[in-house]
Amino acid sequence: MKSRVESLVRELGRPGRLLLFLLLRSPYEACATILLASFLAGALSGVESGSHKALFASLAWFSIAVPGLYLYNGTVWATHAPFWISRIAALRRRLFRRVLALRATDIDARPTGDWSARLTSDVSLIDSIPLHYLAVHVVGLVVSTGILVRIDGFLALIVILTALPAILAGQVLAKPVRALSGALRTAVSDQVAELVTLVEGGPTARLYDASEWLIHRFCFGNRAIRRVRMRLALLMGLQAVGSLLVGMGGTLVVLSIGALMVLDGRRTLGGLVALLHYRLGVVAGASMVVNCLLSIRIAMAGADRVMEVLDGGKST
Amino acid sequence: MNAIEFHGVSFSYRDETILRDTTLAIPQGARIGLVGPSGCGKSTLLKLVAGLYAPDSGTLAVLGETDTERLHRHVAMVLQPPLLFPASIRDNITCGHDMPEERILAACEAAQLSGWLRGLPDGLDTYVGERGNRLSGGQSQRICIARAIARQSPILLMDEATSALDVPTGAAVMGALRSLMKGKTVVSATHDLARLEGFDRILQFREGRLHEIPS
Ligand SMILES: Nc1ncnc2c1ncn2[C@@H]1O[C@H](COP(=O)(O)OP(=O)(O)O)[C@@H](O)[C@H]1O
Ligand SMILES: [Mg+2]
Repeated sequence: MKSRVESLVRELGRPGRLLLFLLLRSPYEACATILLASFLAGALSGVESGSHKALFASLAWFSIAVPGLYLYNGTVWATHAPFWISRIAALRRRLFRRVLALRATDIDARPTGDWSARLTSDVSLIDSIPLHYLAVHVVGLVVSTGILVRIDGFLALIVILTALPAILAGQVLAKPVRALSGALRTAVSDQVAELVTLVEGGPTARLYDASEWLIHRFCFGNRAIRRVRMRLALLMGLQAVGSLLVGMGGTLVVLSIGALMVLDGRRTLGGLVALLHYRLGVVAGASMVVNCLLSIRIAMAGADRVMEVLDGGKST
Repeated sequence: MNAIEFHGVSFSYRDETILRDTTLAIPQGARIGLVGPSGCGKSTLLKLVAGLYAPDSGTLAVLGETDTERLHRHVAMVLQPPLLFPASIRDNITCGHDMPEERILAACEAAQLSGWLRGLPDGLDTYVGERGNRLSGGQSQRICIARAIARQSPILLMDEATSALDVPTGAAVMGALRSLMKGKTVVSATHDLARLEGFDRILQFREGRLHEIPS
């Protein structure tokens, strides 16, 4: 998948600008986790030790830092969105130009619906490739794991073990998700072809009382799409439920051990809450990274079909 | 009862009047040619008769039927441009209706398709491609004519139905229709007067009105 994402990035152009955006955007989740964890730890320590000053200092810091972080993230978003939109528009233009330059035999080789789907819904899929979410969650995951290891190596190991199933599931699902996404793109383009028939043939169908026949004969695509979508949703759902269950088990273990440590006086309540928060950063981060990778696979099925047309241009 | 009756019918598109207070009667069994330069409204008039469009005012009766939604039950129409579904030749002719084989073959014979069909490995079950793009314009047109004939309606409307055929083939189609459509009403629109040999009456479209020209 890596090389295909690479060639997509190349096709979109201005990779430096894209990298800059990804870099600027990536610290968001890590910062938010650290901010919340240290706020909870600080505020709860203040409460535990009966220090008003410590509590208010935490509150003040939190109320400044959170809007600051949002402002930063919003600014990065706002400056990036036009860039991304213009890249997609440029890709579309290149695609249209490419299609216009095709020979009639190349055009005839594919059904009209297939062309329509490539020029519309497949390009739109590229629009939704969550590259920047991936960057955000990878950094969040790495930072949370690092901090957790520094706080308590043993608990960190347990947490990492509970995050592993989500990652493994992602690996196992990658192949079927990719295959189903490809099948879904084909089903969508078949359906576009059928809809074209439905619209163009409308008057003829009406004259010859053939509407029912037309719907029966030409709306199979609908069923195929539904079937593939259901399977895809089932796979994604299984992955979500699986990671949720394992994650909950992990919470229980970490919470029990951590609570015993607090009772034994080896850890503060604030420290435990912060630890739980970093645990969430690792488990949720891992599952988000897996989700992003699966979503990228789904979107790449559309991107592949676009690139196929663009590549066709280079070989001739 | 007349086959087709226009009584004070007017019809216009958003900014173009096609028919102005037109009154016209076509008796059953008549063979009417409709001529006029392209863009004068021949296709529109046929679509009104077929119930694809409704008149803005006036009444239009087809075999006594005046409900636009039901007019198509009495007519078979060859549309311009000819439309084929991405299906077999057979499905394109039957449009999904049950039809005896002889009826399909007779329609093909009249539409001058038989010779060509015999040369096809899959015959009637040949797939025509998207919009019939695996066929020539004339082949597509003849399949559409066969579809209209196989419908066995009392009224046949043809919109430039032989325009893509060479003159002898077009004449052969019309000749076959003549014997096949005995007692049926035929209205054939064309911009080419030469294609209307043997018609009972020829109506010319001019400025939203129909004028009879002596044949
Ligand atoms: N769907 C439509 N909407 C608006 N104008 C139309 C439409 N169809 C045809 N026209 C116009 O009506 C006129 C008559 O068209 P048509 O009936 O197709 O003529 P003909 O078949 O004699 O060539 C033309 O000027 C055409 O531009
Ligand atoms: Mg016309």
